[in-house]
Amino acid sequence: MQATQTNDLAPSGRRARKPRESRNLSNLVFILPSIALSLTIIGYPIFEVLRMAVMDVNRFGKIRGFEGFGNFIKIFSDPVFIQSSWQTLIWTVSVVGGTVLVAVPVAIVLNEDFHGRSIARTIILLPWAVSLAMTALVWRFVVNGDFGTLNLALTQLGLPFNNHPWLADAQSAFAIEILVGILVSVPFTVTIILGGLTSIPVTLYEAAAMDGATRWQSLRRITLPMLSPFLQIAIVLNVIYVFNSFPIIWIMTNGGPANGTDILITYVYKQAFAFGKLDVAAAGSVVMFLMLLCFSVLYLFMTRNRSTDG
Amino acid sequence: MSIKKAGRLSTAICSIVGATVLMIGTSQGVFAKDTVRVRFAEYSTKTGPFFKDLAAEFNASQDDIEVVVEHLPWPEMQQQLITDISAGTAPDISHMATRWMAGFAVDGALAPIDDLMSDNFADTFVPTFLDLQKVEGQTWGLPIAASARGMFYNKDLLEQAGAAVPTNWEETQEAAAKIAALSDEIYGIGVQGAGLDTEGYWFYSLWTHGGDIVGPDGKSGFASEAAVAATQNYIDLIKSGVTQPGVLGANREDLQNLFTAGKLGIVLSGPWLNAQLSQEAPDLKYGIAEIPMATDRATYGVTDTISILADSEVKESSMKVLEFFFNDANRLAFGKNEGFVPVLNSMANEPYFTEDPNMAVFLDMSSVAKFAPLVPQWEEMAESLKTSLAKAYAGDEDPAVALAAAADKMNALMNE
Repeated sequence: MQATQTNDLAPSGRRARKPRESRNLSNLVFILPSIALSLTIIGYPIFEVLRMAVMDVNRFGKIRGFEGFGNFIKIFSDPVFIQSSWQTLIWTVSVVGGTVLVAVPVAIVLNEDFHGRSIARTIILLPWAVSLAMTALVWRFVVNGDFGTLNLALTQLGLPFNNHPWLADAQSAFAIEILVGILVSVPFTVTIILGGLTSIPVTLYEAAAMDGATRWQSLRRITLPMLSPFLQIAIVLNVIYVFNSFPIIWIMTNGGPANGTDILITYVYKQAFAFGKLDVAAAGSVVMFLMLLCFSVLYLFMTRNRSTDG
Repeated sequence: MSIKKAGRLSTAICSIVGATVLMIGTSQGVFAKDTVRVRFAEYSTKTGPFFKDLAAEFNASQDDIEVVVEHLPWPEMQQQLITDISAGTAPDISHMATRWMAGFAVDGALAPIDDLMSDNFADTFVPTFLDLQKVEGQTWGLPIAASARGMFYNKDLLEQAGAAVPTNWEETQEAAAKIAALSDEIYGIGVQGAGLDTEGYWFYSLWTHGGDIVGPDGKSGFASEAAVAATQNYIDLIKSGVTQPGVLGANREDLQNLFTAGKLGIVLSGPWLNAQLSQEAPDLKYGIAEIPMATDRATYGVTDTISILADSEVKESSMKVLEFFFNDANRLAFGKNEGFVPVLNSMANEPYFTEDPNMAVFLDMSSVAKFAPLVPQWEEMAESLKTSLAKAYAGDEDPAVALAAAADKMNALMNE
């Protein structure tokens, strides 16, 4: 748009075409080094993982022979892998869904002008500043049955949770891990949505108010639709992070009891570093990679359709 | 502050550079020395300094070999060693858990030491412990540490409950019930259901019920009658409410912390708990007895190994270093430092081990100690056993059904 406006002197036929073409070419030349760098840095590990997944590899990474699809057959015939896949789905959907549900209202409140807003914003961002491993460790202490502060607080409120062992049952352990997952994902998501909110022109609200729209109506008709591209980014990025998130589950329950909180990343880690099966772990990683790739493509496709429809 | 820091930094850099120059100078000098890198895992804060002092003593005593000691915390050892072996940067000698050794040996990372050891050196060891370092007829390392397990009991709680020190599982059940009845905050006996060594806690019951990890037919003993009875033994304790709540969430540290806090009457553990108790609860009155029996006397024995790596270019010098570390005086000092069971015959009559009641029981029990099998896939077998145990302890599955799954998995892994 800007290019055509500033280029008034050029003949009208070339005006639309030539500058764009040469610009595309020079753009390409400028980003070529980055592409080459990305391909080596990102592509090489992916290539290595793909190669290990079809080889017979010992625990030191030495290749003993060609395995074909044997490693993939091994993981798909392992009931723990199937169980972990389902749990990964529950984990990802719950954490990302919960995060978005919490983050949108929080961001809308933080976007309002009120006394102490910067303090509130800092507090919301704090969990981001603490390392994930530390957060998980602290929460493990908090929910400890005998010495944890959660049970202490609940008991003092008169609730029957004295000595209640939260992490001893797969369901309650998983629920707690999901809550911690939401807690640590909220800051990032709030940041993205806050960015989206500031990009909505104030004039829209002013015009709506002039037409007699209530706050609820402007929220539903202006804020949420204008936020949707930002929500999409938040969802895609969160799905990728949460799907691959390791420390919370590893530190709080190690995937137990009885694999009840194992997700694919903890499954793969155990295969590689506890059992010394680097080849099986590589096959698991390839499957995880394909799952995320499918999700990304599907999501891109869905949102693209919507934007062309709209 | 910053000047001080910079000063310190430059001193540090100078000394590093100086040390490097010195090392290069000595290693390329006329009298070429073999440099032997030794890596230890830390049992306590004393481990690293202890071996550094020994190395300094050794270096001063001769001119042919220069020992360099590194030390790492236990949790980092396995991954660091695997990474170093893959990258070709492993030390000449490394400390490791005996349970990793079989896998390392089979994958060609370790050097067999049978031909490197000088005559009679092998005879100085307690045979049980040295035999554990053998896989496929060859010795792959030396037992650097050995421990047996015993039953720790809180004397005050037993006395308040009016119970005697139990010697078999029936008495244990009764004593635990009496202790648990004292208060809501007090539990009778700890049963471990999560984390490192969960399977070990079950082995106490398995072996005292006459079971074994590998049955007489060479197949998994996880689902034998004795194994089911052993599991039922713990399930009975859990169901009658005499254990700590949340067995499936309790790892070894959780149980030890409960015992240290005086909230647990009985816990099965190893000599390292003595150290924790003397530091954190010096006033707690406790005793240590043998693991309760059903049909057999038994305990879980665990050793750690120190091995020479296959890629080392100074294997003979490395063996000389190991023989120095394992002479009678140095081993005795190490044993006293860390509180482990003697691995050398010469130490067995040492008053330190026989007269201290908190050590003597471990020495007594080491004669009936049983060990986890040395098979490369052991970690994976243990993991599936852990899963089965969790299902059985939670009451989700019948113990016989749950254990059959672990046994099948173990048999399949043995055939791989």
